[in-house]
Amino acid sequence: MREIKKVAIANRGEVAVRIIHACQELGLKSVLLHSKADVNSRAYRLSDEQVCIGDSPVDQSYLSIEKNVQGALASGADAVHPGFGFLSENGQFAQALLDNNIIFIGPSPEAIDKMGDKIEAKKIIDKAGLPSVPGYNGEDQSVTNLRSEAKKIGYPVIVKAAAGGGGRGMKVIDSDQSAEEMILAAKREGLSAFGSERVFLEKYLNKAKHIEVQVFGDLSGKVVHLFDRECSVQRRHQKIIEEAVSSSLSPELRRSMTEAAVSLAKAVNYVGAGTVEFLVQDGQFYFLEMNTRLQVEHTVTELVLGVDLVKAQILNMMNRFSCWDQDLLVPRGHAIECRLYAEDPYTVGIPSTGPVGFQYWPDGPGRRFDYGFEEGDEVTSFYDSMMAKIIVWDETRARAIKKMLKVLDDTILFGVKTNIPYLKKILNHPDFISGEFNTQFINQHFATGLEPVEMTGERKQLAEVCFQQIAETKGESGQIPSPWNQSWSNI
Amino acid sequence: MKKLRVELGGRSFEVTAQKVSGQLWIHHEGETFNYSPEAQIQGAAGTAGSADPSRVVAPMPGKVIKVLKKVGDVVKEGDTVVVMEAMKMEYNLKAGASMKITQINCQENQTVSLAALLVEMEEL
Repeated sequence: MREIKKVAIANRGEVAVRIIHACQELGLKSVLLHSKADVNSRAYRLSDEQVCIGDSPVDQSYLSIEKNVQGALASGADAVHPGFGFLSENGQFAQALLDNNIIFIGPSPEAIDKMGDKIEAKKIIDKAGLPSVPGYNGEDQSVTNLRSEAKKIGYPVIVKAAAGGGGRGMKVIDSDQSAEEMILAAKREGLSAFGSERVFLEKYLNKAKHIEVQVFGDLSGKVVHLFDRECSVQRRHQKIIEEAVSSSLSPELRRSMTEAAVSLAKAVNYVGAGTVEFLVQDGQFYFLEMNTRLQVEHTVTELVLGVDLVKAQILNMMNRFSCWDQDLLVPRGHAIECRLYAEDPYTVGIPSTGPVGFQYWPDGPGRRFDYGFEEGDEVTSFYDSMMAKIIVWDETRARAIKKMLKVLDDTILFGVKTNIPYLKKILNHPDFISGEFNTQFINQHFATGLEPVEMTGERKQLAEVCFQQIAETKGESGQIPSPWNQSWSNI
Repeated sequence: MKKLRVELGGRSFEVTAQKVSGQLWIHHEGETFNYSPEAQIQGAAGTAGSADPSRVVAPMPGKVIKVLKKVGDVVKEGDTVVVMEAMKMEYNLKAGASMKITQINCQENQTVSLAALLVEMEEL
């Protein structure tokens, strides 16, 4: 095993900062492999060394295997941490690093590829006895057969055009009566939109929760689980708010799900941090996918269990990790994470770009701020719009929600618009507070973004007075005002 | 950044405020607002409809994914005219009023900059 003294980070933003902090605490040197756009970033300033690997578009930097490998080699790094997104679940990248005698901080390329290939993953989960969403994807495409398969699965069933996507060629069958009509409709749409009338069937989970289990495997083959996270607050499959642990699992269901996750990780000789995602509905859980990397929302697990997953990942690859004892892992209290996106909350989330102004993170007990930008940096449209994560911990879920609301009130972020008002509306929603929500929550309650807030005359006067009193901070050219904004808008 | 105490109508307000790129940003009583006097003049009453509804412009730099209408089409308020993608997300650009399309200045898969004029329309 190669010794690790220097870790290269093939990522950017707040997760790069997170990894740098772990390196610093372990006494390791950090190297940031960055694009041209990210010279002005917090991770750039915090890292010990920096290697510019390419231009700002992701395919010329963060998604290029060759440039990341070359950058890591040039810096003399012993290991690469891929963070999440970009190349973090790319088996070829992991293999390319190994071929160059660089440690990939993550599972083996084989494990990444197995879980990344849907058909391969399905075989493994079937073999491990894990429940997946029941369905039919067979050769017999006759309406009679499809109808009887749908009945076997149990209504509601969704019929999807095999070549489809984007919601086209998809029909929900509520009962046996409407089965034939819907199957024919899906076939027709599939044929006209995609040139194929082949369809498949899946049980339609119309009120499922997204609950995932964190697992961790050491080099000796020991695998533990670090309990669950609930991530049902999603918009177009993008998570917005995550919690640990889920408030809606019975002890029995939690036991079954965590056992299933561990058995799956063992089946692929999983090493390091990974997450097994499930959909849960009517007391049943169904395997969704396994993410073979650190997750954005790993923070809530860290807070309820008092662990450091990133340091564990690195120490594990150094063979200096003494794995947690499963029996001693007991979650305490409740943690919530809110993702701060640079976007306009009044226009269904149109990204907001530009120079970042003053920031204030209202620190205090049980409050954590993972952020990637500092004043004077710029949010560009090259990368996704997540600027920061706010994570709170408190003894109960109710207190954690209240704490998060207070923290969001006191957080200041100037220069770009953020989704903070949107996050506050969600946290104040009775269904969120009761825990009675599922992945349809955003569609049901916040499909159209927020209603713009009318400015009070007093605030307008206040703004005019301040505008007179304050000088321009920087000499940047004025931004073109977006027609989607109000001249006055509540951020 | 400045912490300011502002006297207004005999009352005292404590705010945090800063100017960034000509816009004023204010944090007051748990909420952040931004303000620019130019937009105020242009926008008159400052309503959402203050922008010229006959011009569909890119609200952010990004890529045009779909152009759903063609020249001569009549659109209703709220109809999606163009679908854009930026930062891995899709956004529907909608007509602000019922109008007729007179010109389309973009095509699918084209990369456009902030405020690029994508579609022009005229009143019915």
